[in-house]
Amino acid sequence: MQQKLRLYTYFRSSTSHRIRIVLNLKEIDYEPKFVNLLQGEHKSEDNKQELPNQAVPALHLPDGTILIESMAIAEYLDEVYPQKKLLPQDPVLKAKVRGFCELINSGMHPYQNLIMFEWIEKYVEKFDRVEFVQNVLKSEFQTMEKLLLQNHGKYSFGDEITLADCFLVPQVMGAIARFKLDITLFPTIQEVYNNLKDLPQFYKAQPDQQPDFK
Amino acid sequence: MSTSRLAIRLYTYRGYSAPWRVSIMLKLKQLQFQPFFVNLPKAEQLSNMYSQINPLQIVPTLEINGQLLHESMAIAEYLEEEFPRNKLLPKSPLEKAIVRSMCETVNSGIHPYHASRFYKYVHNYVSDINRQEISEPFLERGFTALNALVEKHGGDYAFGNQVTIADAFLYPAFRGDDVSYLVNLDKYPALKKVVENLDQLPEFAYEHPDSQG
Repeated sequence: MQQKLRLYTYFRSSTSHRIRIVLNLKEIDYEPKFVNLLQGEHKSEDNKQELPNQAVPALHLPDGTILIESMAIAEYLDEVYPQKKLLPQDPVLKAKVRGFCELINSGMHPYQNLIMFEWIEKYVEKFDRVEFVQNVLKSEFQTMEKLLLQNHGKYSFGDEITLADCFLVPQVMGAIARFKLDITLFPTIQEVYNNLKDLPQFYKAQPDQQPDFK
Repeated sequence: MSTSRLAIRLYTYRGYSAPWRVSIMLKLKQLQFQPFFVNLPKAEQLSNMYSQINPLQIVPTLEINGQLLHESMAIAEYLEEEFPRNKLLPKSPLEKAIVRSMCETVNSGIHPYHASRFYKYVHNYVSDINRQEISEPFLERGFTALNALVEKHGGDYAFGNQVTIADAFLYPAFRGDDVSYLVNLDKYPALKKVVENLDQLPEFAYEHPDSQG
């Protein structure tokens, strides 16, 4: 019988990476289940029940309930596991943190996932993923930079870690490593990212530290 | 929070799905607000004029007590917490997670794939393809997922028999002018049933774009 939380994750999935950080920050013990997106395991019949939206992350609770969507999962974890709160108390600040997360979640990431690439590659021979994503990110990162300029301290919002940081690090790490984005064009993003990425809870969550890393 | 001296302004464009979600939320919470119309089809949110007013250049943006809030989901959560009358989220964290997953399926799984900048990005690479052809597979995927969630958890509305934030996201995802021409509601029976129930509620009534100043 399942005792711990079970997280369906792929090492390079930015959305899974966010939840790995959240679980580490809250010191929640979990069992990872690795889903190889490149091999299409998220779409297999075997995973039909486990991954109801054919995507990672999926969080399985001990009672069998399955949660999907990284923002919904993060909100659930922050409420049920109150140690190391990731959303501020102040309602306006809380809204700004959520707004920042959504900028990444719905404003950027949908255009750089496998669904996007697999579709467009049916139409375009020699499709340059890097060029495509750079074009998306160069304007979205400007908005992110503006938001950070208004709100940052050591971290995205002041000097306490928030959910915004759990979304920022995977997005920036992926942008640099996979899409060759020049992060020096966004000095505040770069500064906050550098303050976060080597913290142990963030480091241990990164793709190359995962057991399924290839 | 007392509503007697609140100044609420919504940067919006009538009929478009994302700002419509917020408009529905404000009406469900019985909050008076001033709409400020930004011509989204003409990309007015990117204009210099608008950037003076709203440096984020994003619609929807909610101005409340002098603060600018962006992102419909963040705004929805703020309104739910600050104006507790007419609860729009269930009590338990688990049920809230299910409602939120419905909202997010729309917010990040459907809406990005009928946004005008999505078409711009694609048309940089594939020129001889129209919006229906571009959006169709993405929308089918998103609406199929949403239909499954509502089939499992819905009743009269998206989640059980009470209106929740999920309805404020689901309804414009079909009836919004930026998406209604792209999707056939008949393909999604669980969603169709809910949408038709929501058609009856005054808070969800369509506001024609021509009625903005």
